[in-house]
Amino acid sequence: MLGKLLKYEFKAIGRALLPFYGALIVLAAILGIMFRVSDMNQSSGTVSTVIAVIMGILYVVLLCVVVVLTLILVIQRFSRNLLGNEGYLMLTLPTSVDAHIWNKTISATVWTALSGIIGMMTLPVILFTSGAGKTNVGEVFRAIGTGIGTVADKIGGGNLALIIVEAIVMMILISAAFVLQIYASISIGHQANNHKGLLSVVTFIGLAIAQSVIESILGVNGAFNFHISNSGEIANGVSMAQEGMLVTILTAVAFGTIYYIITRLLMKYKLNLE
Amino acid sequence: MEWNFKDGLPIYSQIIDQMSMRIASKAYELGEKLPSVRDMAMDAGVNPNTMQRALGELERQGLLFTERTSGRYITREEEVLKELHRKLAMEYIEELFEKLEAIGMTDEEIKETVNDWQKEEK
Amino acid sequence: MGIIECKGLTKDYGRVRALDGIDLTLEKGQIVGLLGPNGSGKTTLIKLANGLLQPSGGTITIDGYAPGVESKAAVAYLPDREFLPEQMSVDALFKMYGDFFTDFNQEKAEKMLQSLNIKRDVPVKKLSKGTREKVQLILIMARDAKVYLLDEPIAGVDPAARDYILRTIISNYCADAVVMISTHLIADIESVLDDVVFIKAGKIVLHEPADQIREEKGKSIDGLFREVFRC
Repeated sequence: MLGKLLKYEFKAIGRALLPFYGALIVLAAILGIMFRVSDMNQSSGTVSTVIAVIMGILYVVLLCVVVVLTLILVIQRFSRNLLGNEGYLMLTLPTSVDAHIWNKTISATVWTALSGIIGMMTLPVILFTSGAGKTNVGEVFRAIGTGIGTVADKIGGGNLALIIVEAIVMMILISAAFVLQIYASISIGHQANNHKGLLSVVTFIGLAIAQSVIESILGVNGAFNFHISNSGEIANGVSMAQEGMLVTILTAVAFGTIYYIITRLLMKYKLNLE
Repeated sequence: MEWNFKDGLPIYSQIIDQMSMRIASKAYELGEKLPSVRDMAMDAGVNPNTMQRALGELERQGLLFTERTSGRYITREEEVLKELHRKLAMEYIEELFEKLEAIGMTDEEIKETVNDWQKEEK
Repeated sequence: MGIIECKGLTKDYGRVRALDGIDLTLEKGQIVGLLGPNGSGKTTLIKLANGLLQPSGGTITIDGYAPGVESKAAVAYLPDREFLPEQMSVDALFKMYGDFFTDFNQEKAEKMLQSLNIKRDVPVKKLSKGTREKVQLILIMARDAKVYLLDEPIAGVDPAARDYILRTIISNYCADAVVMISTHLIADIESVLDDVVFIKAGKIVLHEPADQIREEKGKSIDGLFREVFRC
């Protein structure tokens, strides 16, 4: 059942986001070309520079739009699809509440990650089309490659891979916990008779505050736990980074679980569609 | 098929009455096959169980019969039809006499009035 | 045991008691009318039956199951509002329904869609309101479910559509299923009912076969309703 839910969820979100992803990449490509054009016409470059600036602004705007849109979608796919009129369809399907929550969490996390990746991909696209030289791009990648190689040499290839994997896992879990925090807030807001949205926002802020308070009590430093020691050799730095990430991972799992439980209990026992 | 259901009377007995009238007036041919219970219920806008109950009663009275594989039919027997005519006639006549006796007419007066009515109709 | 069985079923919303110790058994093969004025608890009872609400006390079982995944698989529910995802086309919607419900009968759905000439590949939001309501009805009635819960299926619907809905309910009749119609528009549907349940302020005040009421009380169900629920 979860698989089926995911299938339709991905279709629904994809329908909304993919066009924007496409527009973003296209705009990035155009922007790159504009840079190349304005580069070539150094002297008489006012018009093309202006256009390039405009495109640059559009690009940033579109980037923000994608971020905001992803957030809005995450919220709407929960509040409208499960707790709005569509809930009369979704919540009478023969699936468990857990399946629904996992469905929303997994797809929201995946699409958030995707939005982030697409966003990051626009830079190489700009570089590429601006032909800041296939040479320049090539140089950048070569530089990155050498950098990675150096680090790998110093700390061991295996360790580097581990750190990268841990970092990815950490980011996934942070996203999932964030999404679940949104869902818990919406579920709590849903309990009110009026101003459900307002209550959800207030709850979200409240949960965020509560989370940081608890974290500082426990001596955990928020999202990123890197104890940067000045005299640190890179080897020590590695284990510190790993420790830091581990703590963050555990924190994310703990709070994510709490938010999941809140959401699940409310959806199962305190549901009141109107 | 026009169905006409009144308030205050069980629908199944109204179905029986209206079907009897139709059969008696040869709106159905002798031996004609009836639509399925479901179709008749849809046509009349009534519950299929109610229709089934009425048709079952009509079958018990001999006006309908069921052939196991092919469905329900109007009776083929002229005799049954004659019986039905007589039965309906008796019912209406009883109703007539009850109504007129209720306004104080005697049986003699009623029969006389019937004759008068017949003459006027001609 | 009946297909729908309520024992001492109670539901509170905060301090308001919407259902007060409901005892009700509905057998299969019946079309039952759940009749009562607005606020009498009809919708609450239906939501408890389809798992959208949890009881405050007592029990309700559907086909032997407490409300949950198995009971939802057995229940076809037509709410009194529009619930279709607007972006989906009729085709996509029917495929999705068939995907989740094993008792979804594509042939039945096909026939009904065709007889109403409904465009398939148009997003639902582009259809007229009346057509959307018919699509919802077809979606629910095309299932071969054990329990059909219809919440105000003919309210706000034109007479021709009303006829279509009632004919569909009759033609969809199945001796293994129970159909519960909740409404306050009694005159239009009473000829379709086997049993009648009157619900008043969260309590059941009557549960009898419709024809029995007509025989014993010499009234239509509508007439009796007006008496029982006189303001």
